[in-house]
Amino acid sequence: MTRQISVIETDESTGHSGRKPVRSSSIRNVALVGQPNCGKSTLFNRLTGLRQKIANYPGVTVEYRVGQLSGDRTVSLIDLPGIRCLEPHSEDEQIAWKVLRGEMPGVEKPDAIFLLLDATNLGAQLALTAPILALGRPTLILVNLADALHNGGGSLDVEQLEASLGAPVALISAKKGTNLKKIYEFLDKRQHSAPALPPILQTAKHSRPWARKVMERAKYRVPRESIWSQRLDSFFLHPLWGPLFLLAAMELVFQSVFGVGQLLANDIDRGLRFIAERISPEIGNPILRSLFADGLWKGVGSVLVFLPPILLLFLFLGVLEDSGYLARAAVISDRTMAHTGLNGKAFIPLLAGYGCAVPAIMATRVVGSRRDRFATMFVIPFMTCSARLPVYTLLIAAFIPSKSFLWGLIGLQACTLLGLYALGFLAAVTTAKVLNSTILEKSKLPFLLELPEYRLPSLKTLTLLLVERARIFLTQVGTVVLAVSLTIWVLIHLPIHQGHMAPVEQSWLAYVGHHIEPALRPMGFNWKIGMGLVTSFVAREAMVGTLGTMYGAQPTANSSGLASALRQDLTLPNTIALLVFFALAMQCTSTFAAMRRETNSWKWPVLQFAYMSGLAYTAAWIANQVLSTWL
Amino acid sequence: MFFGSKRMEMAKRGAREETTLLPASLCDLCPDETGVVEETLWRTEHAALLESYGFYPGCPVTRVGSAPQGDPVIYRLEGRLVAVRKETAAKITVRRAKK
Repeated sequence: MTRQISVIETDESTGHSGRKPVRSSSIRNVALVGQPNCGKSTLFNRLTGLRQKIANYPGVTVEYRVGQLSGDRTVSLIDLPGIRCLEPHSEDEQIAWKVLRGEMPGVEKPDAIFLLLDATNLGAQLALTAPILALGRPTLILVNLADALHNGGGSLDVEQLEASLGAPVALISAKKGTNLKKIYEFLDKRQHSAPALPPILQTAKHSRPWARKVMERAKYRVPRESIWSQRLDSFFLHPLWGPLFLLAAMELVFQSVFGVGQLLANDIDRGLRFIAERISPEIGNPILRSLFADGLWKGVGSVLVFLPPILLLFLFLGVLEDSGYLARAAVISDRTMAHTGLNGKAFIPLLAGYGCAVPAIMATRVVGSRRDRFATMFVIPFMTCSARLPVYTLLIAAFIPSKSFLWGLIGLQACTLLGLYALGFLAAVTTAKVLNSTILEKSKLPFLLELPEYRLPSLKTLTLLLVERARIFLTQVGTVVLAVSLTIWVLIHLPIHQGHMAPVEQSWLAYVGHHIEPALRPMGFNWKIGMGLVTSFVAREAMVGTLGTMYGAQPTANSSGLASALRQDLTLPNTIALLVFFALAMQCTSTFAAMRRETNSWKWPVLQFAYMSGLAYTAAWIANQVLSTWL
Repeated sequence: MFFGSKRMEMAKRGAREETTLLPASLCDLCPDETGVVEETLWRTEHAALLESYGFYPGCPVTRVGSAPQGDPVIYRLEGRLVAVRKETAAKITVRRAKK
């Protein structure tokens, strides 16, 4: 069904609507707009049935997203990044204003606007109402968090607010889905009036007193402040307990990722081997049997086992994001970040880099100044992303003894993992410091960060996050890793002599590998590790798949696991050099593409790739040479 | 420092409190002390950004705490918490209540 509406023109000279129907059109696009962290994406997900990422800190949405309204495919809903005022200060705000004004290429100018306001903080939220109503588009004002307003003893006269603003208002709860019928009633109306213009629009100096009067007329009573947020802040921002908790939380994350994650990974590994042992004998043709067992199963399976530790890591990141602690961590880290020339806002994308560098690079849009943004984007690939985890876990489990200290609370393997994360972070902040004191111009934008109220992480949000990350990981394994593993299997078995596949050492892969081996020798790597490194430039996880396929094809390694096969080719100094190389190198085509897109230039990704590769090579070479003489 | 240690900080500033000339800068506010943002704010170069967070003339602002190292400082204004670096807070002028 197409909804017919009449837009009524506003007389801008007087600031009051003349309410004359001027044209009829259909509502096809509705923009969802509001201040950061007021629940736009929660409402968007509820109305469209999509799974846009939501979390409890300002600036989660940095790009516009379009979805069809559930049950009515004729209406598109556009979820916009949060905006605070008329003048955009960051790239995500620029995107929102461009879409609203119809200046965004490829996006139609919205026919109507859903303006979302936070009911627990209406004073600041109303400041945005004036510039949005001034756009002259049919606007429905949705006052969200009705449940929090009522639970905190607050109140609001919706009819009075509607009369004061000259636009329809609905008090809703996006999280619980309360009163959403008002949205459908708005869309079903045959005639819409353009909103009455508020008297003064341009500055907070004038719009805030106007907002205060509006609140008085609407008998708005602010809900009580959460005593729990204050108590939690007393602890999390305490001079001693705050930083200690941050360190303890990080240790717990790595201990769990390595301990629990590795146990689950071993279970999956046993399961996969059990299945392979049952299926392989059923395949009569030896070439096909080798293709299945060595190429497909060992290649893909050796990466697949790392799904549990990766999901555990994302579970911890999700809890940090959804609880509201992430913004506090940004405040705690601000002084440290200041030494590098960055500010605490850069901490949030840097932390997101522990999951994946691509969304983290996009998240830098909230950072504000161009200089801070470029410096943050440049160093994000140093943050240990989840794709490095399979390589780290494999090598640490194979070479680092499973010892523990302090009554078993701290394990050597978990400490090694923590050390690699620390190495990446150290490289990131040092590089940022160098960049900020050399090629990037000085920033003058002040550091301001809104701290959200704490809340219990939503089970649904965390589940959706884990399902999404599992889907991304399995897609990567099922496409890139599978393709690389099969290619490696083909190259390691060619050429065929008299109907027999070539031995590994005489294969085409070995031929290529031996040519690059001299360049790898200073780091202590043989040609097989070298070929693994080459394939890791497609995607980091692919290295484990490549090693699985290569060592799986060796008759001597067939009966043993990949870890024990690696122990025949690598010493402890070689392994540490390999870990250092992985911690510092930029082996990810998706990150390269994201940098190209966000900087709109080839210069930055090429410089980043060359710098990180050079640094990784040098550091791995030094690590191997120094440790070989000591150990 | 946050909430709990306000007495110690107020004691340190006690003597100065008696003689402080009004107006003062935002970072001079003691924990739990409320001031009102002054007109001078409009001359700063990032006025629009500061306004969008609630730092506009006439807005009451209360210092509620700080990061563990004392900077940034956390203020409550318009019902929300905003962390601001001391160097930024020093450029915002407030009227303090006379003691």
